[in-house]
Amino acid sequence: MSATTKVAVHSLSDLKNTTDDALPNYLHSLKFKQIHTQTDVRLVLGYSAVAISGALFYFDWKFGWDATKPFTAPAVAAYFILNSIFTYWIWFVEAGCVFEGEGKTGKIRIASRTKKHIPIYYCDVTFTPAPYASNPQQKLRIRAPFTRWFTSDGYFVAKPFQQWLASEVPVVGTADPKNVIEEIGRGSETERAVNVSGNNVIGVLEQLKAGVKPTGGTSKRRKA
Amino acid sequence: MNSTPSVRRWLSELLQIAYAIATILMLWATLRVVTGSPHPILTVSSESMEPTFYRGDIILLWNRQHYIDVGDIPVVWFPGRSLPMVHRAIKVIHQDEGESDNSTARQLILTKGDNNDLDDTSLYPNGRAFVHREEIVGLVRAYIPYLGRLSLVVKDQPWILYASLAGMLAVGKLL
Repeated sequence: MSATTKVAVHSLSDLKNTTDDALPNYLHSLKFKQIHTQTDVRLVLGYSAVAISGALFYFDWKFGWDATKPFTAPAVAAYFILNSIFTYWIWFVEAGCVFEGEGKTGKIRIASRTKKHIPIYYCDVTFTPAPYASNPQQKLRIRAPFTRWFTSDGYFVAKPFQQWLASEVPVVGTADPKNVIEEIGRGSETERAVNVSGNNVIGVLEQLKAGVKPTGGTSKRRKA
Repeated sequence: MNSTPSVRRWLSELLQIAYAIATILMLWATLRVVTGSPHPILTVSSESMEPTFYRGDIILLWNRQHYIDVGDIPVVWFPGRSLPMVHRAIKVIHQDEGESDNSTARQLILTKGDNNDLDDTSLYPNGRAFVHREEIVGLVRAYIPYLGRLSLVVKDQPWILYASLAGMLAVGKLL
């Protein structure tokens, strides 16, 4: 179950891109239906800007500067406005989203990022478990080093990646119980973006433990 | 687990390239709009303006000054010519156009290269004695010495450009 292509192990962008590609594939295999709206808006914005630029230069090439001159300033203005919206969309709306979709076990949105020169894969997960009426939307921030699912010579191994996702994210874990395993001292951490004060730490810990084993049955203890 | 290529994925990757090119083109268009000149950056290709400019200097143009003064350096590009002339304005005459309703004076400009002994009248088309403001694509406001030398080499020997492009593609593929 390894990828046939090798990535450059020291290239953080290669590691991230390969993992970003694997994530939607895994969720598709669990029958999550991907919502492409954000991607589509980005493509429309981007190609509109490209079209304006192309039209302006085609016009200039065909009809010369004097004919194009009155259109140049408006075209430049329109392009830079579109460019600003496009940049805003990518940075603040999409914000690194690699998957947004819905499955039988709930809705999920995963955005990934890496910090410069640090080989750790960070995910911001927003999910709503099914049924939506009785469950609120939750946010989760998970991370794991790339060494979890890349061999030292650069091959991506899907199984540990799937196990990590299934174990950390309840909506994925419910859809793929076979990959939910209890992690003991493996270095991955979960921070819930819910209030954790001094009083309810024990309660939250119990909740986390319970959250990792949704069916309460199929969990394999891994020998560290 | 290999990722299956999809239309969206392919479009996204193409967009990155197209967007980079579009941005460069639009920055160039912005420069044209701001300077008012269709050719805001040019390379000096003759020795006629030495010692002010030498072959290979890059000149930066500004075309929003309507009135030409003696001493300015206009870039004159006659329609149909393949190359412009960069010389100095040595005489400017304002000629009233009696026929038109608003009496906008027409500028007639005589140019001469700093390194030439004669003025440019022999270089003007159709036996004309002066250059008109519309034929000037900009005034030289600044210059960068030496920077355009490579472009002159490429202009004389275009195969160098094609060979470098081919070389860069080959190296890109290898890496």
